[in-house]
Amino acid sequence: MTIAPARIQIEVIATTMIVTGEIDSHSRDDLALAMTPLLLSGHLTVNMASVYFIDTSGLRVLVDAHHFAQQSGHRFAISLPSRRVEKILDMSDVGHMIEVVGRNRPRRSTEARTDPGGQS
Amino acid sequence: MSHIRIELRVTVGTDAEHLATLRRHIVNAARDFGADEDTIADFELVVSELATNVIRHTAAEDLTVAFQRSESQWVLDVSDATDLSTLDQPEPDDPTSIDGRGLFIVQAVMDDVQLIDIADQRFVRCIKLAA
Repeated sequence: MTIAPARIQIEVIATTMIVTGEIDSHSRDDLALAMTPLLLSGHLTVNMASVYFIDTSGLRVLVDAHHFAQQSGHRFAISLPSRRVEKILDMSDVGHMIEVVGRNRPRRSTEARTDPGGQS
Repeated sequence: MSHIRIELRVTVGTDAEHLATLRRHIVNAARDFGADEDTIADFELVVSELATNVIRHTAAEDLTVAFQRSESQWVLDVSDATDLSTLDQPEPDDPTSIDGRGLFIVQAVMDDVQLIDIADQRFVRCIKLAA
């Protein structure tokens, strides 16, 4: 079977981290490691517009970051969450816990995800 | 679509690096079976949550996922759910905790979730009624 590791790309511009890809229990450590120095140094906003998959393993990284920022007196926010991110934030109630900036467009039932690495 | 029954069966090792492959199989199968994008997204999330639980909470060396579509419903079975006893807990007690929310979310997007035994192996079975 062809192995297709969960892919995640991270770009940092000032205090904004732009995440692209899939966040699961395989890729979550990469995200957490990338966040740590930024959380230690100050405010952090994570742009999640191009996160086309996330499960509760990924959600846990965001919640941990939120708690760490709170304890450190820093601001932690998610910006432009993709539809997938929005859905799991809403279903888990984490969307009420973490600051979310710039909610995306209204849901459309016919909308398909854009998955540049998918096989479909 | 009467009497039509189509099925996918995939076995992977219990390593998180296989999760993306597993999701891709389910996404492609669901699309081939005629699912809409919301249904595809739900099964992609469900298989990732359940497979992650098997990887994290059991000693199994591999896990099998069976996915089938019949006229009336979708059925996703994930093997080795022996330790997934928290299925009976609809929501975690601590609202700030993520623990347990995976199964809560699985139950939220499926019409029925149950533990079943097939040939001495325990599976978690997720059922979603076909539109």
